[in-house]
Amino acid sequence: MPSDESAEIVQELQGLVHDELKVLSYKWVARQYSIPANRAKRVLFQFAEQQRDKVRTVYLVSGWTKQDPPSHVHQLVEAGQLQVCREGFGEVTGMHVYSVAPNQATNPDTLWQHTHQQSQQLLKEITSGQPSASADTFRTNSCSAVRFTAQPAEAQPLRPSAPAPAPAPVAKPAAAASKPAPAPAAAAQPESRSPAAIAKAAPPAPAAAGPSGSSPPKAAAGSPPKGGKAAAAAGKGSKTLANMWAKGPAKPKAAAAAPAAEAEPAAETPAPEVKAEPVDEPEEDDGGFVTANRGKKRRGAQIEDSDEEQEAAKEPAAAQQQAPPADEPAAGGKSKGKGKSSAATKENKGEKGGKRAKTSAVKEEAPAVAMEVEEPVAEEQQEPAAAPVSAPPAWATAGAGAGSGGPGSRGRKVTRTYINDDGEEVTEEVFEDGPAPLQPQQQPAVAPPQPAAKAAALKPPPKAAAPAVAGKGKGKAPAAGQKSMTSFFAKK
Amino acid sequence: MDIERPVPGQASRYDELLAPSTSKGDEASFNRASSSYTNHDARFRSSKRTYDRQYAQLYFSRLMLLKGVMRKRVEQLWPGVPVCSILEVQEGKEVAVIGTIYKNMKLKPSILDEYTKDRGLKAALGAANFCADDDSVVMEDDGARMVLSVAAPGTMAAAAAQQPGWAAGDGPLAVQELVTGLVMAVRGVHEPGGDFYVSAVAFAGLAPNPHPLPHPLPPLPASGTAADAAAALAEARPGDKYLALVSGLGLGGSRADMLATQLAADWLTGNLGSPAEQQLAAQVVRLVVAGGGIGTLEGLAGAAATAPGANPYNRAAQAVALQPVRDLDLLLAELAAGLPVDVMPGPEDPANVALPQQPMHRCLLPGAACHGSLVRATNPHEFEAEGVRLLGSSGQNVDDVAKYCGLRDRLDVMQRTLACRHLAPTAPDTLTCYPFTDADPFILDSTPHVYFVGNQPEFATRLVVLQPSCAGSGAAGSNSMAAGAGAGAGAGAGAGAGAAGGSSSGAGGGEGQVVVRLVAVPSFARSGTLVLLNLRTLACHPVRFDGSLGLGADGGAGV
Repeated sequence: MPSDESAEIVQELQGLVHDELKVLSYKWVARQYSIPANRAKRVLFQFAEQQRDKVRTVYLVSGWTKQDPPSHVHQLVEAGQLQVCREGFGEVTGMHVYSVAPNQATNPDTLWQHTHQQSQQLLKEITSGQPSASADTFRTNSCSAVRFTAQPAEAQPLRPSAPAPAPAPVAKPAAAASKPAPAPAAAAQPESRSPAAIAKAAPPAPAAAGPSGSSPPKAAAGSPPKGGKAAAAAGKGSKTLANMWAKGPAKPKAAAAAPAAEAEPAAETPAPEVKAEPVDEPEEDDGGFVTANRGKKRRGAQIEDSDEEQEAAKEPAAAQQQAPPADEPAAGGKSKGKGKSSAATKENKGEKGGKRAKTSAVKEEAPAVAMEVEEPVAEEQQEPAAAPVSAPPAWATAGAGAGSGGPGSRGRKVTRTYINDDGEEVTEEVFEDGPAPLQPQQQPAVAPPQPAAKAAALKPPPKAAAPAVAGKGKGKAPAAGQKSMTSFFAKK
Repeated sequence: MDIERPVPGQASRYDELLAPSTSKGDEASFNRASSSYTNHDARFRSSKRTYDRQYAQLYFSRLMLLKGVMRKRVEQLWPGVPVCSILEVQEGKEVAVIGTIYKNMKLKPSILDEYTKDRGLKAALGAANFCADDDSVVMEDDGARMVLSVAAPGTMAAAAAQQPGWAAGDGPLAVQELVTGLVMAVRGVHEPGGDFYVSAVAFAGLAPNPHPLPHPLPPLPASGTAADAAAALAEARPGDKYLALVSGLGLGGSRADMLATQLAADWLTGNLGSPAEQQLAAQVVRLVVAGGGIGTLEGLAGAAATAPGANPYNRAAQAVALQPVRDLDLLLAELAAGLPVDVMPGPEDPANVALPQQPMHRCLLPGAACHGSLVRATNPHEFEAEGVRLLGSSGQNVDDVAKYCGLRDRLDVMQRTLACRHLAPTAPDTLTCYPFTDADPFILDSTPHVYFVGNQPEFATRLVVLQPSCAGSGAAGSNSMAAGAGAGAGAGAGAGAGAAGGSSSGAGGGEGQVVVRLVAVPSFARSGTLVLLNLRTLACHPVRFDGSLGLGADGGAGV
């Protein structure tokens, strides 16, 4: 993945250097693409090697001079003088590409000017309150190989006023992290996905919690590209947002599972399935569950996911194979119709649909009773995914997460449906941001909408799926949109 | 020279980053070390500033506050010699007198000179140094003043000095090494001619450290050369924590080296260099910008000069002229995102001029001030990091003393001011300072473990170790590790040998030992050097950034 990504960056750099005659420093590249500085250095090296004669490369050599006493120096040298410079050092401790410029005479000041301008721009974005992903890397220094988290309380004994802005930076990185790629939709998306961000941020946290421990690694594993990229931010986010969200007792796990699905738009498609299997073993006691994340990133996911067929293709395929059995009942059931109706009603009905679907699921996989409510329509695809998760415990968890509905309902309110120990179906409304009532058995079921949607999109075959997607898209989108917009503005 | 040397075996894999991007390897990351931090700026801050008082009070309170210390010192140095005030001095009797020095200097700039004397002479002299051969010193206390003269052969003071058991104290009267405002004691005889012939002087001496160092300095090898001793002192270990000192970025001046500044910022924040370098950067727990972040706003000054007709204060002109302030904000925002930063105002920075300078205003740094890791400090800035007490100034005090005395080496000046237990003796005479009345915040009740001064011409450092056994003899800090980068190797070796001998004799006497590391932090715009201070060994580690693309490839540590 990274190599693909860097190949893309190299492509873009080509245009920047040759057409726009820019002098690109590694730092500029790192920030522009929100990648670690060390990777940016390698990317530039790759680029410089490819274009050996067409670009002027400046290297940075660090080391100790030969004289006595030796002095520690960091020096910029042109590629041509690199050898000479190295020989002048007694000990070289580091060497990397500093910048790449078009092969023509340039003002030496351009070496820093472009980077400086970028910094100014990013600072302006921050102060104006609309930081882009790059601005966040500027603010949090996340490109750096050295992690640092300011401790406002300790660092600022004299100035109580200063820490105030701190929360914002903390919250935002998470949002930023949720942005897998500088997608055009980025502006709206990060916020609309804030739940996703939370879910994502959660993995580190639940990792500590016993059984669910297995899922986070999975999420991380499932998403190598993002994990790496967002690692710092996610880590940070986990402290705040994840904790907040982790209040719901059963949630962490859900969150853990969800991130896999949500965190990586790219990787996710496979995730539900892949994830489900590993997850269920350790989770036997608690039963499986899936977090129903609301509108979340549905739209974004679709947009972004569309390019990820390669990986996704396999999974949906697998899902589909399993799906067919469930497919018919589900399709035949009302669940589908509900799917189209408003999100709110969908949930309620979804439960029924869920039950029904459950039976089908049972058929399909004996132990599996899990039902996904949220997307009754999507059940076909989801069941396979969800079923294994919840399978071990005989009771199913049906989470109705959330789309929660109606435009009127607040984004935080979640309707949860689950089967209690007695086999009764219980539905209740919970506010996600408040401490959720402790219910040992309560597992919010997650119906990651996108797998279904995605799968459908990717795999037109199941006819039922197609309309379902449409219906869902419609029914949910407004809710999602609204939620996202409000939260978007609320964040400011 | 006791600066840190490369840690052997670290050179592996320097070319790690000269490879195409792969899935692994570029994610290497380190966590920045953290340290305890306590700010002790309180005494340099003042909430209420009233300027309607006279400065005389400041001298009086300075003398009163130091008198007790001086009296003890005199009794210890010269037992049996009566201590009296100037009014009580009797002719022909050897006494010790404690008072404040005033130095008569004919070259000293005076506001009145502009009208009464030839201005050409002044211009030719420049502002480097105002000492002349015929400078004289006067001592005054709360009652009177008297002229001090060096005891010449034939005088009674000189005769007294020949007697057995006579202690030299801190040496004979050396007019060139004194500056106005020092509080000291002199021993001598008032001759019938009217002058007080001084046979010896005494300074207050280094105050004790506030507390012992958390990590006792490694004992010096009893044998071996000075170089070995220095190397042993400066040996770095992997887990060491560093404090970075930088000053004189001079973003407002034409000499600002933006590229080197950016390199330094990138290095500190852990972006620049190979993983080995980033590892070192991760050990830096704090950066202290010791003044001079902006320096002269040449744009603003120049606008008025070049375009007399145009209004230099219109909006557009100001936006351009004030760009350096925004640049500093940007730089600090970048730095504060990566590590804790203390920023002190310095000469010509946008803060009050009079010492103690108050922190730069928050609104000058809108971007950086959002970071909780930014501390806007006062100019003499005192804090404790990792159990090490550090005190630093942006250089005005030392620069001013250097102008009015014959001490050339900045480290000597720093050591002298510490020995006099006063940070800025020339204030308020030639250095502006706030008219304190009943307190003098520049008096040192304790000696910091590290005393750094910014905006100096070149990097230099020295470790002064005062053993309790040596307290009674010789000049304060007689055994010191000299490591002036500019000083000849010979001088360094000599002093180093002395230190080795002195401390080996006093080995085991950790109690009462006074340790202070002096660091002259060079101006970054001139030298491209920042200084890392190892908080365990107090050793220094200058790091130079060179963005000149090979044009200055032969630079050395001294720069």
